[in-house]
Amino acid sequence: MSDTHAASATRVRSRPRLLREIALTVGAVAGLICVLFALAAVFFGITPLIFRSGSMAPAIDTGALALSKTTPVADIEVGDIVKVTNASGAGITHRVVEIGAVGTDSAQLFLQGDANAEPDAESYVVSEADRVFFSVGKLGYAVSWLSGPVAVFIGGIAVGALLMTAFGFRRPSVESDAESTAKPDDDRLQESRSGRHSAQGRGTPTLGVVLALAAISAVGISASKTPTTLAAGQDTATALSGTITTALPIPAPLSLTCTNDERGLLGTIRFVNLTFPSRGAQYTYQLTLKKAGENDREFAVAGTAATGVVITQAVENGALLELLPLPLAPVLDGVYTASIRTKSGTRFSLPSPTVNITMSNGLLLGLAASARCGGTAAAARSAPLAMEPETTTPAPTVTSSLVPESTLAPAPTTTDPSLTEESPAPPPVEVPATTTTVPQTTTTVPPTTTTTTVPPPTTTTPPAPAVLSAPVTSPSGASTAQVVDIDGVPTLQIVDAIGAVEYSAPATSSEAYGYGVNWSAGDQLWLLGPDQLVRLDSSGASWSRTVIDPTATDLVPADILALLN
Amino acid sequence: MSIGIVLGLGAVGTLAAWSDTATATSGVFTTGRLDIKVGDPAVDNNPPAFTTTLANPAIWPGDTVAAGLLVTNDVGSVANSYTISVLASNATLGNLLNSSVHSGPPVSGVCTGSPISTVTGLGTSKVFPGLNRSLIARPTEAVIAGQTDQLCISVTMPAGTAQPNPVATGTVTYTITATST
Repeated sequence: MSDTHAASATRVRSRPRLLREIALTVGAVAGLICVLFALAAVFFGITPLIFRSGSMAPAIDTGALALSKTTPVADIEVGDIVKVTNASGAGITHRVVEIGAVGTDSAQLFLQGDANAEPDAESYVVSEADRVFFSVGKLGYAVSWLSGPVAVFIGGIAVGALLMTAFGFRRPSVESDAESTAKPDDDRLQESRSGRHSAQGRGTPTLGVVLALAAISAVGISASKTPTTLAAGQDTATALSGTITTALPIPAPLSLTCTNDERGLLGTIRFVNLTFPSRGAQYTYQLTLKKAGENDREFAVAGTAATGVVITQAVENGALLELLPLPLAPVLDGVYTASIRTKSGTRFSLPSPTVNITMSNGLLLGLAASARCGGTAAAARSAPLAMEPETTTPAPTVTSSLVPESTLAPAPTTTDPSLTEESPAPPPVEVPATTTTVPQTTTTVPPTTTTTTVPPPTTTTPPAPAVLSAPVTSPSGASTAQVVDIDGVPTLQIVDAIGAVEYSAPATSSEAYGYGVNWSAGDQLWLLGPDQLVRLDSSGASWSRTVIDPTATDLVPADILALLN
Repeated sequence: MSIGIVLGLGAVGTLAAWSDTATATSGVFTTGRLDIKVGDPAVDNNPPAFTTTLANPAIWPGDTVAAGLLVTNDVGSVANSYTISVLASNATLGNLLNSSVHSGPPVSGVCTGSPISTVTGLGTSKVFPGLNRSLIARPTEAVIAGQTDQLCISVTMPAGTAQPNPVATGTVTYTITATST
């Protein structure tokens, strides 16, 4: 500019003027940069960033000054360096390593510092981000210092000095163009020191104003606190546990049946027998009686029977004269829910299916206390003597005739006629018709019922039996189950991959489930009926049949459970 | 020139709004590194004592195993905060387990300190909710309070959990992620 030319020309003659020109020039250049910078920031969305830490090294070191431009997230690509704001409000500038789509105008950014081994723990959902397009090392330190209070103070003084220099003692006025020509002697300081300047003095006051304003901008921008950004460092450490293995579950009793019983003179002592099949000679059992509002009552039950043998535990209300297994010392009153858990050492299985027992404390100090099967827990406190007969449903494990497999003994009916005697009438008058401690014919574990009613595979296909239900293939594809009509009898067949029949037994259908043939994980075949749930397990080329209590939800897979009404 | 003046004034005037949008105000520069270690003695990964202690060859419903975990800022590390995530190597096993972080060391194999966070189900990677612990910078070898953090980590199979048959077996990995502050 002509100003600098003037400075060199007047070097010899006026040292103060030279200094003034240099100061004004520096101020002008700095101001120009700042003005451009500010304009860029305002009109182009360009933001300077100072890097406070070195996780983007070596691309961008600590103390670098970078320029970033606000960019819609749709234009951001993997590999870009962007500044986002994390959950704690700090600016984070890292490289994009992955972009997950979230919405039409926002996306989830996964960032990682170049110097970090791991991506940031936090991901950022943004609609726009500041993309770094330029960076200079170390300059951030200078800008940061300029933002400090010392620099602002010095800057303020400098601006003041520049204003003084530019305007001398004149009142600062943008309209001084006209005044300077009209009254040149007002410009005393400048005019007296440089006649040459006065010769071209027409433009000088305007230039001074520009320079001064530029200097103000310089301070303004330096004081405006260029946003710093944390290129956060990150490190991970891992701690590995040892091996954790679940213990093999202790098998729970598969069923629990309650039967009424009497003893003593004229059957005055009325108690119940709980029966369940043993899960093996190595186990003992634990009886739990639950009633809402009371602590659970636990009683040990002996058990050394071989697998499948029925164990009977008498439960008598109140301890009287007899030395039978009498777990119940106190006289109880109300409906209790009984379940059996298998015990091994100090560990227990999950509980067996439950049965309800109605305890009555009788009349005289428990002398006429009784225990009867059935009852509903909700009615426990109201009137134990007014039991509804229909609540005495037999235990769910009692086999029904739903799937009449040939090996199943006719189901012993345990509907106890004595239950109908549960009337308000005094007990001694009643003579129990039949005490039905029916020794159950171990219906619980009938292993491998391989009744081969259908001859094994024949290569030539005889008249194909009419298919009653579409073949269903097991999850592994190894077996297929179907119901076919064999001599007029609906028959469930399980056929292996090459067509050999592995299992065949009569099948029944119900309104609710049809033939109810369903596979579940592990190639278990479930037969669903309104009164019974049966599971068939493959072992080699044979199938074992187990009756499952549908209320024992822990024994039934979720997908099968979902099918049950 | 007068146009320039107006522009300059405009720019200066708008700068205030621009500076208001600045997010970080700290002018502190962070140099140095970040290295977080675990265990005593501190190692980068998988302290042996932790592996030995936090194990159970036959875990039953209702059982809990616990182990202490010392988190340490290594020499030269900057101040940071860390989070912990957890994942079981076997999803079947993991889904049956819960894990908790307590403060302080275990006492007789039990976490007795105040509970910090619990994760239910370790079958998928989860971050302990609300767990965000701070460590101060460690410029020298000498360790002072705030540069380490003693935790107790427990794994529980809740009572009543149905045990799988066949058994499920696996390990549980805790990942401590430190971010400089």
